Amino acid sequence: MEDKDILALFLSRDENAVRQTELKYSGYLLTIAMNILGNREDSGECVNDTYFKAWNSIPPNIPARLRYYLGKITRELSIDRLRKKLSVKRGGNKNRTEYELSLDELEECVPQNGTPEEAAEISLLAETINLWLWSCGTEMRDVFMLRYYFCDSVKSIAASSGMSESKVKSMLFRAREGLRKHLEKEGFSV
Amino acid sequence: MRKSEKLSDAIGMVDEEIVAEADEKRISSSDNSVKNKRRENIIRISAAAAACAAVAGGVLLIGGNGGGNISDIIDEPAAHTTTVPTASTVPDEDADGYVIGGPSANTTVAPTTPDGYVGRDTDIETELHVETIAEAEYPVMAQYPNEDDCFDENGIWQDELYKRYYEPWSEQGIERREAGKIIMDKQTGFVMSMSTELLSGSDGENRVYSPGSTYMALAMLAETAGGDSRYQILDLLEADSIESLREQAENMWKANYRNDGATTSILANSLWLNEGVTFNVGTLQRLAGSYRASSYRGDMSSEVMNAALRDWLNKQTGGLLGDSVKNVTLDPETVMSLCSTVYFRAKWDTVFLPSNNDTKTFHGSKGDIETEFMNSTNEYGPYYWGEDYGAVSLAFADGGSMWLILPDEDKTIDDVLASEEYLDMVNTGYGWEKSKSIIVHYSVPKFDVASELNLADSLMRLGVTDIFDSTAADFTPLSEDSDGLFVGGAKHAARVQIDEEGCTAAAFTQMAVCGDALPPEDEIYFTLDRPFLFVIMSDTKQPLFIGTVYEP
Repeated sequence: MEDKDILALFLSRDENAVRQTELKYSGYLLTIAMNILGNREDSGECVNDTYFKAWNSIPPNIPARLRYYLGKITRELSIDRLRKKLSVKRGGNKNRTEYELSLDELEECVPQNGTPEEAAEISLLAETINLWLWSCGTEMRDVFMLRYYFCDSVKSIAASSGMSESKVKSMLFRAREGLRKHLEKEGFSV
Repeated sequence: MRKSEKLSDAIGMVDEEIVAEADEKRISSSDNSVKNKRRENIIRISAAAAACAAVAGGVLLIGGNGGGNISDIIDEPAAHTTTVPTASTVPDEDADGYVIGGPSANTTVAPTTPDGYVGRDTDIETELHVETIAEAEYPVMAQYPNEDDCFDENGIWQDELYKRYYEPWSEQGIERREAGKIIMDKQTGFVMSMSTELLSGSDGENRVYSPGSTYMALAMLAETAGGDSRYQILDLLEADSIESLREQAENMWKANYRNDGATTSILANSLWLNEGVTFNVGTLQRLAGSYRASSYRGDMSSEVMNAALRDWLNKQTGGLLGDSVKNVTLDPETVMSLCSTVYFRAKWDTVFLPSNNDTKTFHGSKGDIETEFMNSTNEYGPYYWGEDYGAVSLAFADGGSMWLILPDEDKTIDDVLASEEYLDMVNTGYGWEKSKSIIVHYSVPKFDVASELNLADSLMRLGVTDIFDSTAADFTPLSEDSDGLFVGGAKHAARVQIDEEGCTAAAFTQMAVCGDALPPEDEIYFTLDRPFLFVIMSDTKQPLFIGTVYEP
């Protein structure tokens, strides 16, 4: 079923909307959740929560891209769930997920001597990152997003983009360096 | 909240278009069109396996005194004409350790050749009456993981599965690199001397040779030689003893042998023995062990023996040296023919798109020619340079690279060859100080370079003289009847081909680089539209092939 038809079901409050969403996007959403949580059970729950959240938010929201809309919800829900789990048993986890690994890498572009002023800064930070991403070449932008938005593994990025793993790694390294410099230049001390 | 978590949250809020654009590239198990797209990528990469192929072979013939009578050194004619060899055999040995009789039947693993041929064709050999004395054992290698096998039933990528395939493959790579480290830099002097000797002053003719193949052939020859004949070879190969040379050759074989489905790099050696001569079995066994040399025996003047030799050469070199192999013949005076081949095939790390190809003018040694160029751009280079040249390194997908070295406009290939700088550069690679990360627009002509070189004159100029002189040559380790034996011929044939899966494009050069000048600030057009030099390095940093392209 096409997205516009699924959206029509949501808007007309037809519960078939959830079924059709599941049919079309369950694998996609599960992959995002698995990249972050690394656990099929938790991921499955996050994907179910995504349907629930979509059901409650469409309407009033009318997403232009359903796929993106759903993916973003799954990403947020999965990150929330992981943070909660980690705050319960911090440290000592051997099987780190791709999300956790991506966080370690992102540490490299956090400017030093920062004074954390959390939440309010995040949207400003997002705007700055936006500008930087638009200034990058398509290839680097895509690779950056695949790693740090979708939390795809390097191997998976290499396969989906037709590059070697070493090229993906070096591109990510250069992207992090570029972002770090950009953030410093913009006066961010995350 | 960790600082990186904050960054991650911010990344989660970037423009929808940016996310959607990246998302296009992803696989989704619920979106078949995207899944198929990824599979296409994988298939395309696999199909790129023929990107670059290079092959070389050498034949050294040890013959009797020119015009002399071979029967002078024949021990006893062997009863051979009805011999039907077993699949794999080792020589019989008499009390003195000399080979005298027919084959026995100790089974060894038959060699796997580049075209997948395993062992010998018994039917042909039955007919040919060529006797197998010893066959080299080749290791069975873990194959490069096939990504297509690493999805589960839902089409989701399985890291664990991939790891299961990847780890054994990766492990053998570590062993190969360890062997490479041991021999690194130990052949630089030899490679330098041979390259200058064989490639310089070619009067505009394309030339290519394999340092690896010539090194192996000479090392085997040293095993069969004694006295000054041996020492002269040891000197050229920079070895202080035959034992250290043997170790060096073994490591060289280990460092360069790859037949793992990703890269094919096969060094093969063989000995073709005159059936009328008694050979020292200890020497033959050493050659089979340390050099993985198979040995065959028969009537050197017979067409069947010649056909078997040509057949072996063709099989080991994937048929790429067909034209040169056609001319390889043995004559009745040849006591032993010693062959060493290298076959190399790898795919580019980043393939050239045929749609980017164009036709440009190559300013060759014999005038301008229109030829097909392959084009691509690498945003980060790097670009390398030296006193007399500019250079780039095109990586192969699973290690190793091809260096393309373009002499500055006021310099020649011979100028570059005369300086050791280019070899230092290819040995150093990424750490080379005269390099810079800038946008490089490559424009590379497709080429197919083949040459056949006579090594004898070059070797004599490099101090290896006794083995060519029947009055001075000493081949006592080879045969008890070694009087009058000498090397009657030393041929080396090699061929290198590249294409999109392997290279592309050209406009008139925009490189204004001369001397040690720095390259431009931001980008460079590296257009190989005039004679250039190339070096193929293995992932273990061994120069496998070096050649010149005067006409693509």
